[in-house]
Amino acid sequence: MGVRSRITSHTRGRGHSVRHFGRKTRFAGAVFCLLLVTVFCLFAAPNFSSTGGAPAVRAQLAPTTANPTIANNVTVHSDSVSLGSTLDASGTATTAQGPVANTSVALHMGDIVVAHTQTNQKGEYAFSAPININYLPAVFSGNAAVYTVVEPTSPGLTSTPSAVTNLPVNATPVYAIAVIVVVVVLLCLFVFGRRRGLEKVTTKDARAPIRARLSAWTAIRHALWIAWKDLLDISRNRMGLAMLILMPLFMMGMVGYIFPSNSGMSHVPVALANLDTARGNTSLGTKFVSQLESVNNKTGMMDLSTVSSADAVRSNIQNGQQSAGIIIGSNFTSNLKAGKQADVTIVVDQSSPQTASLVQTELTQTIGQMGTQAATFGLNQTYKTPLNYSLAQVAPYNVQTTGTVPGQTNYFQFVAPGIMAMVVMMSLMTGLPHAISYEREIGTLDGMLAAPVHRMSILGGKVIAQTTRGMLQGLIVLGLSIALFGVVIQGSMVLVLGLLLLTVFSIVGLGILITSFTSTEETATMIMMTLTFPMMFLSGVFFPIQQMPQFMQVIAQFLPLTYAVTAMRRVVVLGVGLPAISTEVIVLFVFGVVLLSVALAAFERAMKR
Amino acid sequence: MNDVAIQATNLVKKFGDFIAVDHLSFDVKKGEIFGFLGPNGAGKTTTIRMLCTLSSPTEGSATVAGFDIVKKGAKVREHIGLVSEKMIMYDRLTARENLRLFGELFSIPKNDLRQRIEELLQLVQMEKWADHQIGTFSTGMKQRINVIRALLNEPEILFLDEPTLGLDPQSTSEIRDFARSINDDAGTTIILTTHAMTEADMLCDRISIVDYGKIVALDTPSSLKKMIIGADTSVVELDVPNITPALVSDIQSLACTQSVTVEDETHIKVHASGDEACGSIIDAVRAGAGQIRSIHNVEPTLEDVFLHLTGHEVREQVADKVTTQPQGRHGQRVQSRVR
Repeated sequence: MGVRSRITSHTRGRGHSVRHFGRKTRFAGAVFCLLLVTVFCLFAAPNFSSTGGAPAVRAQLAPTTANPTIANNVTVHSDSVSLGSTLDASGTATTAQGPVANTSVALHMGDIVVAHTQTNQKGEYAFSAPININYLPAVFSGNAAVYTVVEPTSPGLTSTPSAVTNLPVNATPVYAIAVIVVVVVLLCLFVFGRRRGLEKVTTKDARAPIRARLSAWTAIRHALWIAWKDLLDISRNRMGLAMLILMPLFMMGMVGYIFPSNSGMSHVPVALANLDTARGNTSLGTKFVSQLESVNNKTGMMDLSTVSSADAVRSNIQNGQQSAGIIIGSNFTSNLKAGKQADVTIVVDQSSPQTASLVQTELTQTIGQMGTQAATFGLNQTYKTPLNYSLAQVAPYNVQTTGTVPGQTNYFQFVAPGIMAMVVMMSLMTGLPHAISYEREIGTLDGMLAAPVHRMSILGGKVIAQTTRGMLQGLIVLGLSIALFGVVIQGSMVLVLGLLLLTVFSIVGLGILITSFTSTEETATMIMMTLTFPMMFLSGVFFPIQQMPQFMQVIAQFLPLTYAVTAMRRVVVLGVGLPAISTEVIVLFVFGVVLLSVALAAFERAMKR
Repeated sequence: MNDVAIQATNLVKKFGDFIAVDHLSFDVKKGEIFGFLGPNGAGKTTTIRMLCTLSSPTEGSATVAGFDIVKKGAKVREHIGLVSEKMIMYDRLTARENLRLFGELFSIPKNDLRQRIEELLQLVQMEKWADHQIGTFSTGMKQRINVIRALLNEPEILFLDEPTLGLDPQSTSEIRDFARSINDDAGTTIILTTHAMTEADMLCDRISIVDYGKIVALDTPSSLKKMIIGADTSVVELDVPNITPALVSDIQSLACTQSVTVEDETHIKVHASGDEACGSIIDAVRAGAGQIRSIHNVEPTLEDVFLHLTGHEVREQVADKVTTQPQGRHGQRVQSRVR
C-alpha cells in the first residue's frame, strides 16, 4: 500500500513537472526565439563606426622606424582587485630626450580601459580608479592583468604597454550577487510553479501536450486581443493622445533649449574695465582692448561694455547687469615695457557656476591666444625670426581635441539618448498602473479574470500595449532630436530600437510589482513617481554619473536605467556595436529576468485576493 | 450529482481578522434561479467572487458546473457568465467591439461569434446602437449590453450581482424579464444577489437569506413567508393620520410587540405575537390619542421575514455595520473589499 502510493505520487509529480515545464518552456522558447532574432539582427546590422573610424586611428598610431620609444615604468599599489575597491598605480613616462609631459595614459585591466590620466611636467602619472560593475567581465574571468599604455599625441613618439602586473581577483561580492539572483529566481519559480501545479496535478489527460501547445497559442492570441483593446482605448482618448505626443515634445524642447546646447559662449554680457595708467598711443592696454574687440567681432562671444573701475565691474555682476568682467591691470603698459608679465583679471559670477567656468575657460583661452600672437609677432619683430618658427618657439605644443567619431560634442547629443530611454520608461511606469490598477478599480478587470484567459495573457496584453505606447513616444523623441536638434545617430538604428525594447523589458517587472502591491491607481501612480523621479536624475540622463558623489554613484549602479542610458549613449554618440555594450545588455537582461520573475509571482497572487 | 450546478461546502473567506463569509454550504440545482438576499456587506458579493474564481476561499471548497473552483479554475470560467455590480464594459469601445473582445477571450470561433453578437443585440433591441461607444449610453442601455456580454459563451451558470442597482423602474423590469426569459428558454442556472426584497421574491425559485456571512434561512419565497405566519406572528398595518414619536414608543413597549416600523407619514407596521395582539395595539393607540383610520392584517413580505430572522432592518444595517467592524490595519481594506 505504502509502496503503491509512493509510486503514484512519484509519477504524478513527474507528470506535473513535465506539463508544467511544457507550457512554460514554450512561452520561454517563444521569447528566446524573439530575442535570438533581435540579437542576430543587431549583429548583422551594418555598424558604420567600427569600419569607418578604426583604420584611421591605427594609421595615426603606427610607429615610424626612427621614432624614439617611450619608456613606461609603472608600479601597481593595490594588492588585489574586487568590486567596490580602487585600483591604485603610479609611474613615469620618459624618452631618451627626457620626460613625456602632458600626455594621456590609459590604465588597462585585460582588454578594458579602467581610467585615463595625464602625465605632469616630469612625466609622472598616478591612478586611483574605482572598480565598478563595468569591469565585471575582467573580475569574473579572474584575469586582472593590470598595465598602462602611454598614448602619445605627437607622431614623433612610439609607445608600448608597460610591464603587466597580475593581481589576484577577489570575486566574492560578484558571486554573492550571482547567488542572490539565482536564489531569488528559484524561489519565484518555486512559488509560481507550485501554485500553477495544483491545477495541473489532477489532470489525467492523455492529450495534455497537444492541449498545452494549443493553449500557449491561445494565450498569445488573448494577449494580442487585450493589447488591441488597450491601444484602441488609448487611440480614442483624444486628449490622452495629444498628451502622448506633447509630452516628449515638451521634454525635448525643454531640455534642448534650457540646457546649453553648445559648449561655446554666445553674447555673454561682459564688463570691461581698462585701468591701465598709460594713455594715448603708447598704451598697450588700449591696444589690447581693440584687439579683444576685433576678436569678439568675429566670434560674437561677448557683449562688451566698458566701465570705469574694478568696483563697477563687481557691482555690475552683483546686480546682474553683466555675467562676467575683464579688468586690465593699472601697470599693464609699464610691466610689459619693463619685461614683466602684465595682469589681466577675469571676474566671474559665482552664483552661476556653469557660466563662470565657461567664461573662465573661454576667456583664458582667447586671451592666451592673443598673448601667443603678440609674442610671435614680437619675436618676429625683434629677432627677425620667420613667423611660423616664432610660433613654434612661443607655443611648441599644438593641442587639438578629437573624439572617436566625427562631429562636435554637444550637450544635446549627450542628453538625447538618455531622454529617449527615460521617456520610454516613464511612459511604461505611468501607463501600467492606469492599465491594471484602474481597470481593477472600475471592475472591468474582473471581466477578463472571469473569462477562461490565462493570467499571463492579461499581463502580456497590458505590457504589449504599454510597450507600444512607450516605443511610440521614444520614436517621437528620436525623430525630434534628429530633425530639430541635429542629433546624429552614429550607431545602428536597429540596435537603438533593440536597446529601447530591452529597457522596457528591464523595467516592466518593477511596474507590475508595484501595481500588484497597490489596490488603487492613485497609490500606484504615486509610488511610481517616487521611484522614477530619482531614477531620472541618478541614472545619468542629464549629468554624467562620474560627476555625482561616490555614494550616489553606487546607488546608480543598482538602477537599470543607468545601464540603458549608458548603452544608448554609446550607440548613439560613439556608434559602437553590440560587443562594446555587452555588459550593459547582460545587466539589463538580468534586471529584467529577476524583476519579472518576482513580479509575475506577485501579480498571480494579487489577482487571487 | 448531475442536476447540481453549484455545490458549496463550508466556504470561508477572511480579510485579515474580518470574516466576510462564514462557513457557507449550499447546493444550487440546474435550471434554478437562486437568490442571495441580504444587506450590503453580508458577504453576497464575496461569495459570488469565490464562485467565479476571482478570489480564492480561505477555507472550504465548492464545485461550479462540476469543476472545483480552486483546482480547476480555468474550467469553471469556461462555463460561467458574470454580471458584476460594476459594469464590465470599456467606455471608449463600441458595443460591438466590447462584445467582440470578450467573445475572443472566450475563444469563440469568429463566424459563430459574429452571429451570436447579432442575435444577442437583437434580443435586447440594441442593434441600432451597436457601433456607438458605450460611454455615450444611458445606464439602462449599458446594463443591457453588459448582460448580453455575460451570455456570449452560452454559460451554464449566470451570476447576476445586483443587476438592477441604480436603474430606473423601466430598465429594472426589463432586466428582470430578460433574466426570467434566459432561465426559461435556455435553462440557464442563475445566481442572483440583491438587497431588493421584491426582486428576489419575483424572480427566485429559492432564496438564501445571508447576514454577517452566514445563511440564516434557505427556502422558496412562499415557504419563507409561511415561516413567520406559522410562528404565531402577525403583521398589522395601521393607518394613523397623527403619528407621534410617543405613540410609536408606546406601541413598542407593549408586551406583544416584536417591532414597529413607520412606513410613511400615516402608516405604522407592527410585528406582534399572541392572540391579544390586535386588541392591545388598538388600545395603545387610543390611549395615546391616535386616530385609527383603518387596520388590517397584511401578508408578510420577504422584508418581514428578514426582520423576523435577523432582528434588524435591511436599510439600517449598512451604517450599523461599518461602525461595528473591527478597525485597525485591515479596517480600510475590509470596507473597500466587501461590497
